[in-house]
Amino acid sequence: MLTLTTLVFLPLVGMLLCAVLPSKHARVINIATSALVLVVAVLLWIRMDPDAAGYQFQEFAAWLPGVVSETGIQYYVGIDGIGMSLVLLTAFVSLTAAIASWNIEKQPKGYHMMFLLLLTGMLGVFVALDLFLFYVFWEVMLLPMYFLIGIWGGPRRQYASIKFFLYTLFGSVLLLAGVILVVLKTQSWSIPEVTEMARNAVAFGNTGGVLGDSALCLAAFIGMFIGFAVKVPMFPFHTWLPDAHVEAPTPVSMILAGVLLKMGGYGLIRIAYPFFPQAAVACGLVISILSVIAIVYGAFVAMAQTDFKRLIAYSSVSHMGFVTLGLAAMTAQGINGAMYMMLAHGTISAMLFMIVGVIYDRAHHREIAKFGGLAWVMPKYFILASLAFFFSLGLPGGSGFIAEIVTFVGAFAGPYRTLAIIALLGIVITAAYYLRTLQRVFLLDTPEVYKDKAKFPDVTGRELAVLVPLLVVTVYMGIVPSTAMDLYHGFIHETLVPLLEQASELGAK
Amino acid sequence: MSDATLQTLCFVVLAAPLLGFALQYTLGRRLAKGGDLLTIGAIGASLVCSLLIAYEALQGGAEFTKTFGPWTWLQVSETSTWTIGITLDGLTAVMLVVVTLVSFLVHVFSTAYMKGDPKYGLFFAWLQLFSFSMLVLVLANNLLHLFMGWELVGLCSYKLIGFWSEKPAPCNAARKAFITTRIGDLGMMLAICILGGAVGSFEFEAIFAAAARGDIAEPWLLLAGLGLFMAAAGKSAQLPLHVWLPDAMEGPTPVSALIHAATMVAAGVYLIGRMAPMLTPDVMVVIATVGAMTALVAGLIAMAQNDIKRVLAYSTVSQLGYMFLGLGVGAWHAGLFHLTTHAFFKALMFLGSGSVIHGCHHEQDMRKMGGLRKKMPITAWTFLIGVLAIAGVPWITSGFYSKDGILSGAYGVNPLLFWIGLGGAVLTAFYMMRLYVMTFEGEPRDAQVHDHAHESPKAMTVPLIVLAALTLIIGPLAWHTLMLAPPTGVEPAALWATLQSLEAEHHHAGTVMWMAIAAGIGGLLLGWLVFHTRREKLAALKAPLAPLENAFANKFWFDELYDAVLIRPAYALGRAFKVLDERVVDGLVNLVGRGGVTTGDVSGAHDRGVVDGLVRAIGHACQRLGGVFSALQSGRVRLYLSISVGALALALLLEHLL
Amino acid sequence: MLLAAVGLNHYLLVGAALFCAGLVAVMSRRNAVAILIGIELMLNAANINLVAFDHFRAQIDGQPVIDGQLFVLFVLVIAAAEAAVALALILNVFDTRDRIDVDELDTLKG
Repeated sequence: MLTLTTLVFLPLVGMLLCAVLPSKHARVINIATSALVLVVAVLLWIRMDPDAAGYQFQEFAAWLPGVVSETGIQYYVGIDGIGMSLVLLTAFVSLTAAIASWNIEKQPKGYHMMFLLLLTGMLGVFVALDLFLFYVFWEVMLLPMYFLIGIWGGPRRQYASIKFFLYTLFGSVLLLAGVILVVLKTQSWSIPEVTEMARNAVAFGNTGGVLGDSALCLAAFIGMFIGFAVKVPMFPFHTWLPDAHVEAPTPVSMILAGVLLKMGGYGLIRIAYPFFPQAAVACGLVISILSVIAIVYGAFVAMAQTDFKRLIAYSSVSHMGFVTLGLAAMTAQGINGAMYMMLAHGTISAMLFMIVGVIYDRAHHREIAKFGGLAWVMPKYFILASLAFFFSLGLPGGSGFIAEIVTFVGAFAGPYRTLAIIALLGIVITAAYYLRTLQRVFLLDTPEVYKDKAKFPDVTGRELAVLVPLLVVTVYMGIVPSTAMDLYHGFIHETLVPLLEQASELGAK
Repeated sequence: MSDATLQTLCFVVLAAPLLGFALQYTLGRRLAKGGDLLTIGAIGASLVCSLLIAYEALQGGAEFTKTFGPWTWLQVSETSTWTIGITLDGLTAVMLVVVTLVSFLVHVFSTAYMKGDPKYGLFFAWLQLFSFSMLVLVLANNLLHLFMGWELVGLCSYKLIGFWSEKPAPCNAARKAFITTRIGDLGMMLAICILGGAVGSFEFEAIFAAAARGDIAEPWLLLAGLGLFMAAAGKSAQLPLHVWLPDAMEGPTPVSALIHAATMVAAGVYLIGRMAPMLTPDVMVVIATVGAMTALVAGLIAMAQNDIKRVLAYSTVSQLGYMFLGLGVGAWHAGLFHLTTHAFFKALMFLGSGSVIHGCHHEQDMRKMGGLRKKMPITAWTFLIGVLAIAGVPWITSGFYSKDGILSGAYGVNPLLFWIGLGGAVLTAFYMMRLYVMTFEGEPRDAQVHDHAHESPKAMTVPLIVLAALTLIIGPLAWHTLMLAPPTGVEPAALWATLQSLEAEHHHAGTVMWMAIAAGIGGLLLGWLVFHTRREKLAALKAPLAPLENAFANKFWFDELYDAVLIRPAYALGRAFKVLDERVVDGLVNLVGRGGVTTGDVSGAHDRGVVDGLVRAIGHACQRLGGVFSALQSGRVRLYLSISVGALALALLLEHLL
Repeated sequence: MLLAAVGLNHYLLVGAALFCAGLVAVMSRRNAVAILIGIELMLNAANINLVAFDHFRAQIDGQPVIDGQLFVLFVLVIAAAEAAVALALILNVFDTRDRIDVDELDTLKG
């Protein structure tokens, strides 16, 4: 029973239960299912062989044989350290988000069903090893997200949800085009197989063969890259994010920032980079420049925001810039750092969005300028918020510090040193906007409105149940970084980095 | 003492304040007396262990070096593993004692000073974490590990400077401190990036070895050194990043004492001292120059300040400049010795000023003080000892030994810097005497303040007495016996040679010593003369210097400059980018969206109008035609017949014609 | 002689005139009975033609021809039947409408 299939489709069972049972049970089912998913994920993690190379818990089933190749499209799932770390993140963040969804009043049944469907889509993306299956899960996740924003969102939810949907669909189309090209050229739908082919092609210095160094491959890489970059989201494809976040309900924002954005990075690490190492090398400079712009520009834009949630959304843009920066450096440290940034940002941003959600629930607005002195009214909330802020800006003891340092060292070891130095500026601006926000929201005098203890109670037990686990994981990852890094660095050290190194040597010739 | 015991001691040194913080932060409010005893106990335990370690180090002499660990922390690539670990040598031992001792005294002092503050317990919690962070920094055996302590120090300084965060000024000061030091941290990050890439490890030994072997390309080594100094300049408030330190006076006075003596600003000097073997001569020149400039500029500014704490703050900036001057000219020994002596007499003076402020009911303006010596004799006498020490009164005060060491070091390397330093020394003595006289001597200027002034309780005066005693004895005692030895590892030859020659030179540098003595005593006398004996002529004396005084009082307009050049443009840039993002980047997306909608509208119109229109046009045509023909179907037989006949006739006619 | 002077054309002219008279009657009169009379005129105009053609055909062939005469007989019989039907219609119309103006009988208008 302990298989990836169980893991992925467990939420669907929960969804069916939600559908048949009365709607007052929906939230309990959601939490129970999410918790069960986390348990299954942790059990799988424990049973995973840490030394084995390649994918584990593989499962095959014929699906559409004969399409393009003889085996055709398969139901093919499997997992390695990278997938596992992201599955754990997904399960964990989803559980906290499920708890945060407790007080959804509007059509709870539909909400929790969509939530669970989303969970299946996200888990599926991280375990799918068949390109077609990957694409299916990729799209499956789009739909519930659209509804979650479009139905349970804020005043401009329609605009935001349609923008989100169309923007990501635009990316998906480019991704699909890339997938089709890959499949037609390699006659294979299997991600490990294609990776192996790319490795052979590079290892034998084959610059014109299958997935070699052709203009077509470059185009396919760019297509896929944009497809994933929209999800990351990378400058200049990031503008759907603030709108989606501002309109989405708190738990959905948590999922969006905590997990959904990671799919872009995952796609780059798992698909775009290994499939087209030479194109990746060729595009390195552009990607680095865009990343640096995202980091610095995102931070500047965040600084100018007046809406609390928008500020956090732009900080996400800035932080996710580290992911692409690390990747583009193509060094082991860089990619390890990028991966770590994804995990760190997953928990920290979920925490930050919950922090915003807590105050929005009470004040019903998010204008930074209208807040003040909340620390004296809600002291526990203040502690949690300032910890989240400081961990986000890279305080040691939090996972963000490790992520930033490793990424910077990696980016600096890569070919674009100057850009890495410019990116350093981002951390100062990040500190500036977080501290400014901290001061304007929590410190100084409390306006009369917020002094009403009944309307502004300190964080409740339920909110603590969301925030504290996230905080604990963040701190754990900041103090014992090897747990996560040792889990995932196998693929990076053994496959991705050698591949990229050989590709850049070929490129140099 | 076995290594295992030493290691345990190190752990206790670290664990005690951390545990103290955790307990105090969570339970502090419920403990008796707000938990101050718990934290004093914790830091006391740390102090005892530190003293034991120092004793052991003293036994070991200059060769004493111990490393615990390194423990693997994370593997970032197949070849590069990052570790954490503890290193113990003379420098560490001294720093441990300084940090824990000053922190301990500050804790004791605070029990009285902070009494009645609603956040009394919290204050001690943060003091604990502050000490812990500094101890992490000092004990680290690698740069990354050190950087973690470094950043935590930043957090604690933010929390403590902004302790009274209900008021805007402390908040802004705290933010300024954090962000300014973080600008410096960019340099540290840069150094970490360079060294992490080139060495693959951050352990000091490995870095020094790589630097000596030439593994790090010359420009990058230079850049790494400059980066480290940038970080140090941020933390230790050197030009041009010194602006945060005077503002940090918004924090409670014990915090100022801690920041200025044992934590935070000491970190920068310690960093440069620790990393000295990898600094290239060019970097050393930069360090020395910046240090000397800072010493002078801060001294000038200090002359025109009226807030008792601000004067002390600028004097700290100035003294830190001396330390960097010392380190930069290769007087490594003297620079770090000055850090130690300064820690004691500056802590003394800050706590003394705290005592004054406490006694005067939170009055900080020196213009309202005067004649307080009779009211607060212990504070006044101990303060005077501090003043004499910072002025470098020979033989009896510790400040003399360290400052003299720095100046003689500078004299041998760079005469210009020496003269600047000497000028700074005169200034130091002068403005410290001004401070002392304005506060404690002469006639009371504000009767109300004076009448209510009182000597502080024992919890405040005892630390003052202890520090005063230390200030007096540490110099003569320590100058030759203290185990300050340059860190192990491979020294760049140039530095090492300078160091040796300076050691030799110091003993013969009589001229320099007399010049330094003259500067100190002269400055003090001048100060006494101007501000005490000839006070009535002060106004006349100052008149021609008004523009200069204006410049000093306004701190050479650094804040205004930064505001205009950095802060405002940064915010403006943020706003501009926001508009750019909303109008252009997102505008483009919306434009595409709107383009899609428009295309939809157009093609919809085309579909309705043209494609479907054609179909409907045919239908319409048929219908119209039907209408026409149905008009013929009048039902009138005669008409039908007429048409038939007409048609027949027409047919016949046509046939005929054709 | 006189008979010889009268050729086929004369018969046809008479037939045509008669036909035109009938046609004009049918076209111009609104009274159904008058129309019926016009129709009878036209039928008989045709009869004249038929008889005339029959006669001159026999002359050309040099033997008696009876086709035309037979046609005429048929026409007469049909005309009688038609008149009977028509008059019955007219009577019915008259019964329902009290008039027999054909211009008013436009219920078949499209």
